[in-house]
Amino acid sequence: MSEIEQRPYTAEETLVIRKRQAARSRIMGIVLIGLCILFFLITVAKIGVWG
Amino acid sequence: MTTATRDMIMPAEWRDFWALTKPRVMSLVVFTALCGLLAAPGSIHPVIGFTAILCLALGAGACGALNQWYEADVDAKMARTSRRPLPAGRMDRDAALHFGIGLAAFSVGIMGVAVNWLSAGILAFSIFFYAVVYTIWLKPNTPQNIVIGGAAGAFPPVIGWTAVTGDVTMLPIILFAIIFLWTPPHFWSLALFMKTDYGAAGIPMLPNVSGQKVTRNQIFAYSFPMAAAALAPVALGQSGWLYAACATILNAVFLGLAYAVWRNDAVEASAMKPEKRLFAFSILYLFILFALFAADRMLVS
Repeated sequence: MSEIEQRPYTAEETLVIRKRQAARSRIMGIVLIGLCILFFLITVAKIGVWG
Repeated sequence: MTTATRDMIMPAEWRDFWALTKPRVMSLVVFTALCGLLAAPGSIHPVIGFTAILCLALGAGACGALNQWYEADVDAKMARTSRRPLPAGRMDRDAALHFGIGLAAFSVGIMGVAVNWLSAGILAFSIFFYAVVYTIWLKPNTPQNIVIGGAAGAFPPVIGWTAVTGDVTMLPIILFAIIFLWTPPHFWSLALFMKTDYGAAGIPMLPNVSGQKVTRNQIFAYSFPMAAAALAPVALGQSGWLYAACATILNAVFLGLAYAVWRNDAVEASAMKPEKRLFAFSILYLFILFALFAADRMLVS
């Protein structure tokens, strides 16, 4: 039986990972807010509130 | 029990996901779709029109991601593509697959719910055509890959059109035909001066399989039906003098450059200036032609 062990992250790698995760979270947040606005506007356009 | 250690896979940057969508290809898709949307008769609510173009862009991004997921090994062998996120080892392959499938499902779903299901159906088919028919089946197996596969890139103006009208008439089919017939001269001129790159990756592009002379003949031959397709809206009385005059000039330049390629017999990429000129102009040709078509139709209407 063989087992693959993952090498633990170094302190530098952990820092890079945290930075990347933070950047991805920010982008995801912007995308989700944008989608909320888009879905609201689509709903308004579909039901014709503003003509 | 034996144990081994392996490096941890670092999470990809958001820029890598962005690169996975092939933004430059996406820009041409968005542009031609927008022209189809603007040229269509009738009107569309700006929000719904924006959503249609956004879904198309996301669908194109899905195609790019699925293409790069499948071709990661091939991309690693070509200088032009070796720095992409997957061959460069900046991203886990499964992440690219999930991203591509997610984008595809999301874009088709939103297109169907917010715009119409005909546009969503054509979008779904074009994603399937590019990711499966072109990338997996045609590209590694036949030198006619980009001829048939060109259909995938020809759908966006049709989708832009159907987003407004909800049906397919002769004009969107002509827009489809223009891109479909434009694709072989465009890609084969690139394949001529990138011959070694494609050869190293084992992709059966026409210059590698049939030789440069045959490829140059084919480029010149395809330029004529492409030019005829570009003038078809004029012949059908569906465009004005502005489009007619400019399309004639653009066609003349394109045919002149294709003629120079046909006459060229250079073997080395460094001596293939006519091929490089035709490749560069072909991009400009499509941008100007579609912009003029949309502007002309808007002026006429």
